[in-house]
Amino acid sequence: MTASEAIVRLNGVSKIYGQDTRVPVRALDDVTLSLKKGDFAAVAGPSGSGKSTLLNMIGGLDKPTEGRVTVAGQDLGELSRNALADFRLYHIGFVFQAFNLIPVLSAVENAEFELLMQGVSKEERRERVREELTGMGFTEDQMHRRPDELSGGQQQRVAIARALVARPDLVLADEPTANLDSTTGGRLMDMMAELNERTGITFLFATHDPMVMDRARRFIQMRDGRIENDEVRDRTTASHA
Amino acid sequence: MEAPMAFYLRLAWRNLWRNRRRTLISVSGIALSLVIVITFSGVVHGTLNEVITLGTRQFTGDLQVTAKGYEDDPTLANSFSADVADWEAVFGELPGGTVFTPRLTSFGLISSDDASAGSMVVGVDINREAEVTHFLSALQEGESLSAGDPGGVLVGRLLARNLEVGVGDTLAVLSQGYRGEMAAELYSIRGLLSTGQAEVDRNLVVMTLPAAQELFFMEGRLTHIIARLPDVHRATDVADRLNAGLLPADADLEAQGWQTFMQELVQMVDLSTIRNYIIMAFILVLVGFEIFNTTMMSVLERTREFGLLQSLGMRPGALGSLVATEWFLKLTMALSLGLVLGAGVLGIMHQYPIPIGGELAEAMHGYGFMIEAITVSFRPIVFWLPLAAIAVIALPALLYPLIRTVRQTPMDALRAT
Repeated sequence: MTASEAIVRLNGVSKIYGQDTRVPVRALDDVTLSLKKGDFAAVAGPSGSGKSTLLNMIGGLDKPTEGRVTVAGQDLGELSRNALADFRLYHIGFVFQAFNLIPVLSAVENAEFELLMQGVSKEERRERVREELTGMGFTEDQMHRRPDELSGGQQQRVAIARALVARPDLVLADEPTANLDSTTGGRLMDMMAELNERTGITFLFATHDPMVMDRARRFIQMRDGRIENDEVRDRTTASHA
Repeated sequence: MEAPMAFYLRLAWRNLWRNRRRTLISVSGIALSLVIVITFSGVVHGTLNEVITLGTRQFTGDLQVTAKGYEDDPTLANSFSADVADWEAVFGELPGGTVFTPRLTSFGLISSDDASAGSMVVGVDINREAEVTHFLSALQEGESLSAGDPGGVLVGRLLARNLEVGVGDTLAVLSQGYRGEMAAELYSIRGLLSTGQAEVDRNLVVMTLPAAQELFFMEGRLTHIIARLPDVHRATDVADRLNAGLLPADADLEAQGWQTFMQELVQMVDLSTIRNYIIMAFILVLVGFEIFNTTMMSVLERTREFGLLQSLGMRPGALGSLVATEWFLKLTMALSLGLVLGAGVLGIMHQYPIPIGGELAEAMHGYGFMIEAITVSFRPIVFWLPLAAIAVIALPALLYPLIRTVRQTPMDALRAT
């Protein structure tokens, strides 16, 4: 797959919640969108505009009511639950706003979780995870701490490390900076931008945070479940700290 | 690709201890229930065992061999010719610890100077009988019979009272011989027996086997072989084994376990067993709710985490395996603890038996059961049945939380608050 190839395609995707109720909610309304490999994109919009729903559709966590979602060449509508789980394991990295980590596992164990599920050998797992966590500034001691012994920023970094060590095609981050102070959030975005540059992994953020919107090289504005604006910026337009 | 089992075990183990207090309460609750059920079961089986043993070993034996048809027509016509040495060989085929004794039982008119009464007349091998049953040792007055005493008898206490005789007095026994001859002889009372069972004490004259064979013209013939087994509960199995080909082929004989010839005892055992099961079922239902409750709680409070695991690529089945592994670990801990403590409690009760006193003791003595203390049983059923029952009841308690976890979509799970 070359950099110009679309890694994500949404064709006429709609998602209606509570279809059988008196007040159905149209979270996505006939959305057509494609993301190229290496995109560093942010989806913004007011609450209820459909940002998170869009990410969930792309990540195979939810299925559209209408339309088709294709990611990494796979039509997600045709996949069984197990196949969708495998798809997420091998192609998608998720970073959520909070509760990203498994509380009973240490930072290292959390970060290697997907590699372990992929059946990667212990030696390779530990090597890749240590490299990633060390690159993110973790000390040996911090690597063995459990989530409740880490700061919010450290927890988000572990979640990002977990997403990246599995070498996915796409990282979906839903409000990754929402619970962080601006300095920590900025550092995190810089780190992800650098990883995007270095590895070519596609990033898609759902965010309210202007700092995230500023740094994205593609900016998608949503309102009422529709894409209102889709702007591609060149590298000089997107700001860096 | 599935994660290695060791990982699930590690994750499940840590998940168990993330809420240490709840796990401890849950494990100790299940363990305590098992201790209660094991203790209860041990006492019930121990008491039943005692009752059965006292019941069978007082007089009837655990197992009887008679001529076929003797049960319906208990006369001398249904006797058989027997050489004790041959029976040694037969019982030698059975598990070690099996002992037997020959008997000749008939009925006769027993007369004293002042009264007469119908009674059972039993000829016993004095030495062997003592190894198999207890009634000869229930001597209330006088002395026991010796093997070489053809002229002496032991008489039931109530029969002696009815006949207005005592130790040293003479009794006449009138009956019919094996071929219809007149059987009549005088015997001297050596002692009075008080077995505690009124029916026996009112209806028993005991003499040596040679004396009885001579009285009834039955040299070399018997009506019963009475056996005592190492495990009274195996009587039917042993009888089946004897009937399957171990009994002498030239005689038309059959073996029966006490379960066949002591129907009242069987009914009493069955009634106690049913009562035992009802109480056990009640406890088990409570245990089932306890397991369901804690499993459901641990699943519900982690719904969002399960959504995270699914979003990371864990298959629904793997998630179910994780929940099932946690359940299995918790149950294993609880059952192991319960088993050890339950065995400990029974061990203590065995070491320091709780005496039975007052009205209960009197009531039991009235039935002929001379039970002085609560006895406990260590039979395998005391342990495996409660264990299996809790394991079985725990399965449906897991089912709903498991199905709920497996069926939940990642989106529903992630949206859970």
